[in-house]
Amino acid sequence: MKRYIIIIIFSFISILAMAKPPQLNVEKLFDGSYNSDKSVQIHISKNKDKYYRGFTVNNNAALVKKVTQLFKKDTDRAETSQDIIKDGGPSYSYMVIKNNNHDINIGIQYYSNSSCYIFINGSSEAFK
Amino acid sequence: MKDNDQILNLQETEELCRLYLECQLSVLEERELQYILGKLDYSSPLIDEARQSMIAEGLLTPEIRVRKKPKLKWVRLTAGIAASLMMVISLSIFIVKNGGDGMNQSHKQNFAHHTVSSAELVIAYEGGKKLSPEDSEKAVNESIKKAEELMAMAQAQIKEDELRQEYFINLISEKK
Repeated sequence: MKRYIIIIIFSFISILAMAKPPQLNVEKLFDGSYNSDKSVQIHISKNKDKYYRGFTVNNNAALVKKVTQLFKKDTDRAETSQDIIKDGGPSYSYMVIKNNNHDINIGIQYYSNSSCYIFINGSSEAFK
Repeated sequence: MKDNDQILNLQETEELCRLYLECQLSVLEERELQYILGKLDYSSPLIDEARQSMIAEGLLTPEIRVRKKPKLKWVRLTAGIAASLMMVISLSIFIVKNGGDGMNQSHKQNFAHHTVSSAELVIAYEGGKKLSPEDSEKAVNESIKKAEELMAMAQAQIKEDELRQEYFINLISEKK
């Protein structure tokens, strides 16, 4: 009987202690819905140590606006964030979000009103 | 009767059983012993003999004697099933979390393929089309390089801002 109680307790503890994924808003860009979009370049790399995602938008102002909105939603959770302003608007924004005690680097670079590049980078542990 | 449950130890119960087997108990005392043997799990040759005798006389039914065991068995069985379910659920959550990285089903299949071959997932889409593994690797490497440059630029800017801040703080404190 004790054995079963111990197993149940351990199961509960393991569920509670399980690492949580960051559930970033910018990750929505990589859900597969933009794979066939001709104005987009998607680059994904993931192994047991590193996690990288890049999303480039070319000549699509509406999508740049959406990407910016998603990025801004995530800045609420940022440990540090930085905007480099150029020509009256941010040309590059960068933030660090902590998850599972690991850093997630997210940056967005604007080339114009209709073109941008956003990346998510960090150790794989941060995304589990 | 409840008092007897708490007070009677093995020796006392054996003594009562001995008196029962020697037919020295009153009807009331026999009832009391019947209750005790049905309730307590004591076991010794004397007690077992008294039990068997009571069962033979119809004073004690085998069901009463072993009443607790089926209950315990059910509890064990239920706990075992619950523990197994918990383990299966936690294992499923773990697998789903590791596999669920925001990609759709086709990408998950790609991921599985890549993990088998190179333990690394490399995917690239450009102009609405999926690139070949070689082109994907090249495109992803360039993209990573660009991200690293931007990150380095941001880190340098942060450091510069900190130094500037420190300089102004020192300047203000010197003026005071």
